[in-house]
Amino acid sequence: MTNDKGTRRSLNYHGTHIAAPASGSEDHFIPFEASRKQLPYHRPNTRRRHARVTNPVNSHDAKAARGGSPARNTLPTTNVAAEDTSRYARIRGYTPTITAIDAVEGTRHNNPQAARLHAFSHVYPVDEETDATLGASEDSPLSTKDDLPPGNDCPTRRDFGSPRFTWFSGAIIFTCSVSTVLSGVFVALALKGQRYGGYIGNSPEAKMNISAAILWTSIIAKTIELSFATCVVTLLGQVVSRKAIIASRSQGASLSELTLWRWVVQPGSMITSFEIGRYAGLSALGVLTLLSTILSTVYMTAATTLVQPVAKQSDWHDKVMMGSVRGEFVHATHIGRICQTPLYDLYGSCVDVENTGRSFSNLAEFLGHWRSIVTPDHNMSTRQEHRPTWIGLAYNNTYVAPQWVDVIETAEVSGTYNRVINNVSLAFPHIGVSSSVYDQRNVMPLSDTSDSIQPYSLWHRCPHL
Amino acid sequence: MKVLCVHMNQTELEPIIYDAWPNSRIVNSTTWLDLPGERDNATTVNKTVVDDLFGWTKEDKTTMLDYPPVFPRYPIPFSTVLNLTGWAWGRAAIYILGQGGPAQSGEGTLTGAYPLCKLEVDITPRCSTLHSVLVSGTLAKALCDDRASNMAYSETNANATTIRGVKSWGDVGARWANSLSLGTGTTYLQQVLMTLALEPKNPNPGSFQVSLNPRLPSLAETLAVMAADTILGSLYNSPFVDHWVSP
Repeated sequence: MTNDKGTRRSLNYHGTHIAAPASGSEDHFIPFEASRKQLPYHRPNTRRRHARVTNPVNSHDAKAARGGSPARNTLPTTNVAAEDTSRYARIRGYTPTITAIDAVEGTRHNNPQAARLHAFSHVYPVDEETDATLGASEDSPLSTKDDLPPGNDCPTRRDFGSPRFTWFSGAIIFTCSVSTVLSGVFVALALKGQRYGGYIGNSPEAKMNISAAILWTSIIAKTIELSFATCVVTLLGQVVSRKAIIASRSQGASLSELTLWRWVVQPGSMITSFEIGRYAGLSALGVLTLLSTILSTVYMTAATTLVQPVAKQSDWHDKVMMGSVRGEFVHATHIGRICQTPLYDLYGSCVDVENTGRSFSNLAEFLGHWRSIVTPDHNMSTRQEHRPTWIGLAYNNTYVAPQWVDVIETAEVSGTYNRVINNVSLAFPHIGVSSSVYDQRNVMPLSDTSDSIQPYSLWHRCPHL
Repeated sequence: MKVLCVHMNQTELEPIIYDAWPNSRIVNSTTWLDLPGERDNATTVNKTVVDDLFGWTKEDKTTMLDYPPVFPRYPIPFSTVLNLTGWAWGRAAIYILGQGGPAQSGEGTLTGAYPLCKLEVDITPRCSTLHSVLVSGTLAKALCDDRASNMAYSETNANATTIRGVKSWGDVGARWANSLSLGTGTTYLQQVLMTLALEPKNPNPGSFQVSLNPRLPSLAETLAVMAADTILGSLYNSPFVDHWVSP
């Protein structure tokens, strides 16, 4: 177990490197083979080694196929049982061998390929005995042990730590603040469902027209999105760098963590490079990145839906409406005045013509409505409140839907008096309020002041006839 | 708009048909107008069987507005006659008297049945208007009683009561009825209206039975719809409160 762990650490540190195989196989280069030979008294303590020796039959078969020398099998076995050295001891015992092989330690670090070539000269004599050296590989000098800080072993030309306050960090802090403040404002607007009333619209009174409002919403939303992504990527960089440098707290940074930032700037890479998610997706950093990616991806859409001002149906809210009043309810003089005719209308023929025309029109529509809804298998109710009323076109392109009120039970009342009593009351809407829609003092949304004709309703409180 | 239609028979109508009075002169559409004072004084203190239904209390001796209307003669089948004015100005209602005819179904007849209809207009505070601007026009909808919820006029005007009988509508209604020639001759309109009069299923007193026809509108419903424009036409620039405020 310790062997495997040590090997992986080595890999992490170097990224692509050389080194020890994960499993003991003779085909691999083992850089420590030579050292074992040069130090005849080095006694690797490995259970693997031990296990192999106790099962020589398989080993023999394998080696035979490859031309290894069976005679050497038994050579180190004599020392196995006595081995119980500490790690420290092993490392110390090992260190001189590196210099013995490569002469320059730096070569191994900076040019592993060269080291490998050099080391390959030792490969050919290798036989199954090389397995024994795997025990030593866990203590590779390439692993990030506490006593091998990268800052010392991999010196940079200049200090890669930067002071806390630079123009760059200042800019980042500024960007993050802008992002936070603006998105806070957007969240507040979205939660409140802000109504802008007459401030935004195409009417002359509006402070901002609708297209400008949409443009500004998009600009701010995009600003938030970009600054957010910037902050997240910066954060990722900081966290990963910290992980890599402060080795005492962690195991270094993995390659997939290094590439996590691509998710944020390029969400499609979540699919194309799913390996990143495989190795880093389940870590706290991975989940944070995933969340940030999703948020920044949907942000524009969410802002458009929730914040961008649209003409929409709100809940009922009160408004005092104004309208002109020029005459009494149903007064003949008033009606005569409204009636439009080019004639000198001494006898009120205009009203007569209007009465006749509209009444017959109402009758025709009413009867036609009955004809269309009564079918052989569908009758109307005999209860007054459920019977159809006339829905007709009155003035200003307005449909009128009255309602039966003060309903009496025709059958019951008629029975009481022993005669047919047909008593109905029809309540008409006060269509005079329609004109208040067009009254400029009320500033109602009309089709020429709104870029989208949205239905709306006025509910008026006024007496009815 | 309130429409009350009560069916009566020939004998019951006698007290309010001038032609049936013992001392009456012969009337037709011409002489009725020429008879000095007869048409204008066309009312009576005669007692009828429908006094309480129509509210003819006959208590106001000065204006005689609560006296029953008097019609010049019996209408022939499928026709109507009118009584539009009271003795003094201010009667809110107009009256239409008609006679039914052979039923459309072929069974039974309304000949001899005289529907007497009273048309009147009230102002109610229990309603609200829902004015919806739709893509294809606008819809004005009356929502009354339960449907008005808290938007009824009476919610904010607790003192508002139903105003019974808008007197000025009497003139408007009279004009309307004359325009449609409901009082002269036999027009197709009169025939349509009388065809829609309700026919009792069982006309025998004691087990009298009648109900609204599920396949046809009733006479009162049709009259209310026809007269709709007398109201709607006058609602433009009319008050939004239940009284006239002098400017």
